[in-house]
Amino acid sequence: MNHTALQFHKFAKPATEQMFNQRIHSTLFGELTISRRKIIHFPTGIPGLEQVRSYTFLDIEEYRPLVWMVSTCGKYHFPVIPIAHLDAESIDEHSKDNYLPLLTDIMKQQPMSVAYVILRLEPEIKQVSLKAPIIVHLQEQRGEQLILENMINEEFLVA
Amino acid sequence: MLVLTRKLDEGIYIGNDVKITVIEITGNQVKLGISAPKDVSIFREEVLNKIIEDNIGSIAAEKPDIKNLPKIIQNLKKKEDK
Repeated sequence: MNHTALQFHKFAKPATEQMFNQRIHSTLFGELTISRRKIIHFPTGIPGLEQVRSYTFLDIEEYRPLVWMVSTCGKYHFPVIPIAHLDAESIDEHSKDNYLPLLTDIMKQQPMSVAYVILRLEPEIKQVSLKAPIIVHLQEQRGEQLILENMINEEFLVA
Repeated sequence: MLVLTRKLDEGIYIGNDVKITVIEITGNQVKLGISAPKDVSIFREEVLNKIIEDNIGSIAAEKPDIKNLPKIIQNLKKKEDK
């Protein structure tokens, strides 16, 4: 064992659960242990909750295909549906015509990404809108909420 | 609030790299051109407010009873089960 290896051995600590997992005290689902690889960082939060920057996505069998987007502080829970699970009937006509083609184009350029729409459970919602999808870049563990409504009917100026 | 008066084709800078130019004035409408880096978010006020309202309104306060989930989920569930 050379000198450097000895020093490393001296200071290296054994891997602990905390290094790989994060505990979340969810106000809806209780104590959760989530792999740090499943924590998604939103650099600017989402509109209205800009200060909340990290979330995880819980896939609970009884709620499928609904997924829970849960803040790591455990306070905020958003029911979301992966776009891939939506069908034509669930998308409102305006979004289907205007936003679906735009989102499809965006997703084609984003490898290893998943798009979700947030579902409002109260009052009863029959359709979902694609105007502000949540895009999760799985490899980078980064998320953002796109506001597609702003991308429509725009004249882009070349600086 | 800082208030500035601009004429057609005149602009203002916000910081070094965000420029807003008055492109067209028609009646009570003003068309603005905005040049900004890609990472700067630009939203119409009413659009952003609507998204904020939707986001806040979507926070689940309690665990929903799966029997009472909206019809859309029930339909999607049925399709998934097939």
